[in-house]
Amino acid sequence: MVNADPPILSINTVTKNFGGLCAVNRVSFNVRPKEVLGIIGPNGSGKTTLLNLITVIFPPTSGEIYFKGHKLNGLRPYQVNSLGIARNFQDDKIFLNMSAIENAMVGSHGRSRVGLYGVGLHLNSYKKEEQEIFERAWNQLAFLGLEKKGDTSPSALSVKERHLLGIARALVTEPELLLLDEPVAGLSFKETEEMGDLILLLRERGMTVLLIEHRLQMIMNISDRLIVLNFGCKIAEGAPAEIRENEEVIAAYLGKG
Amino acid sequence: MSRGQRNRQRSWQKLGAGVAVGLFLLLLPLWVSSYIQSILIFIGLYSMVTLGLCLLMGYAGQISLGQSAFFGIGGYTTVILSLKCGVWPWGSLAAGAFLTGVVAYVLGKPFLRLTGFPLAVVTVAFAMLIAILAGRLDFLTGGHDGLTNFPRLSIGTWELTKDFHYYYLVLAALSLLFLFSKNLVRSKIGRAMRAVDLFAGGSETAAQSVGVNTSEIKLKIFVIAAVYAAVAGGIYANYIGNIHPGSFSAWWSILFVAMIVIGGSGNLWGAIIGPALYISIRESISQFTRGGIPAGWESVIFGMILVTILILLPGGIAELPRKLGFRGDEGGDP
Repeated sequence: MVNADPPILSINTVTKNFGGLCAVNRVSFNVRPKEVLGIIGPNGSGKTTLLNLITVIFPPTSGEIYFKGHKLNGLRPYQVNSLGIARNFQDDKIFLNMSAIENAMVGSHGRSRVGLYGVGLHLNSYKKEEQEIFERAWNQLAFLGLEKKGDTSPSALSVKERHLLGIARALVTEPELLLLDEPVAGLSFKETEEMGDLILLLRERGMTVLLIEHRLQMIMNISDRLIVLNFGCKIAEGAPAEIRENEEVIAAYLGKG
Repeated sequence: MSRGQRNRQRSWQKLGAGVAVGLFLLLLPLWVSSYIQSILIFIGLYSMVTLGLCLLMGYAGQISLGQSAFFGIGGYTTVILSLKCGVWPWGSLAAGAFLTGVVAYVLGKPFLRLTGFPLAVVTVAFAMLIAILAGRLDFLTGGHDGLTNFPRLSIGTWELTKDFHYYYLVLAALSLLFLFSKNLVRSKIGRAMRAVDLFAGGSETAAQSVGVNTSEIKLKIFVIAAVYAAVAGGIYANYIGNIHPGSFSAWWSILFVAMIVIGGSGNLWGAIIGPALYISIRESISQFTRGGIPAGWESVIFGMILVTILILLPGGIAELPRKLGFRGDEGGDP
């Protein structure tokens, strides 16, 4: 499969050291527009660290990351989001002190324009914007099948619903690149398949998805390409069929036999 | 009954209750002595401070033990401008609030890189520093004796001197700040505030990842809380007729936090209940004992009452209706 478009995200020899521990070691790869790129690797291989580097939760020790020509190094996480990158979290990080719809509504914060006084004085511009924020959040909840859960407290949601809410909150920011960190952790086989279909649907709608997952079956099925990490190094890159045959990957991750 | 009808009925009930409470508060000075009026004025003034603190602490999860300093800066600026620069007293009050906002903005930038206890420590250090400076900078502040005999707030040639004048002034100011705060907490700003409240289940990382500039939100609320305290400080100085370093020792910062905790920091009403309770208890103790108990014991009794309340109602008095089984009329909202 040849995709001639310039990469939407490029990671250039990125390294991250935590003290003496090298969590990500000179990793380079490109993400192409409108693909699902899967990242696999054993526990501790640096997958989540990589996502945290892309969203600049911490800076890389060396190397550069570019998104659509913008250098991400040195930006703040909210600026990365405003460029068009959104993510979920492995531990979902849902705001427990607000309802599901409010969680999703926070996703509109970056693009809202009415200032403090408009809000505090309850001006018409604010009321109009608030209505738009509500509708945008509600649309995403409805898209993900959470339309009946809007007023629910996150603590009353199932694991699957919380994963979906984390994705809804990210989608409200209208990203071009969605980073998904283990979105099916703790889900049943059927729910995992539904999540896979959802990711494919997002791709059909023109979104690029970078997916970290432990469920090999699922990630092999829905990814266009795969990156394999082990001890912070990229050990393989290619189509799922190639990865399945790769000796080093089998030794490191899939296990022999 | 449909949900819409119920909501409409509820909003009529709320409007009715609001009008009744408003009328009651407006007519209250006709019935009560000036002693009670002065107590109500202090409750109102402290409520302005705790209201800001409620936004900062209760909603955004940032503890500040520096509110007494902002109260003092607001008060001193107002008095100094009226006294030494001949500024129109209302202008001085506004300038005091503005200058305090600037100070909070400049200090908030480095302070708010911290959170939790470290933030509490730097802010209390700042509160101590300001109180000490006020005592030392004699040329500006009149040293430990403070400043007095300054032109007071007036409407035309009619100077505000009586308790009931200040009662209405404080009532108006507090109502405005309360409405402003209420609008804030139910808006996108309120959601962003709750999103950064680590203690109540928020997450700064998650908030940033969906586009919230968390440092900016925290700084805004820090400045707002400081301005509320400064307005209270300015009106306080005009009401009392003097200001000195003792009016805003760092101890007051701790009391403001104590008030908001007993009132209930998760609810704006807690910001009024807290000071009301604190001042009522303090006044009752001194009325009953008529100074007959040694100094310091008042604090002991107050402390015991505070501990009892917090054991019974960890969320503060504002939690009481929910504990008793009444559903909050606001639903999930503030």
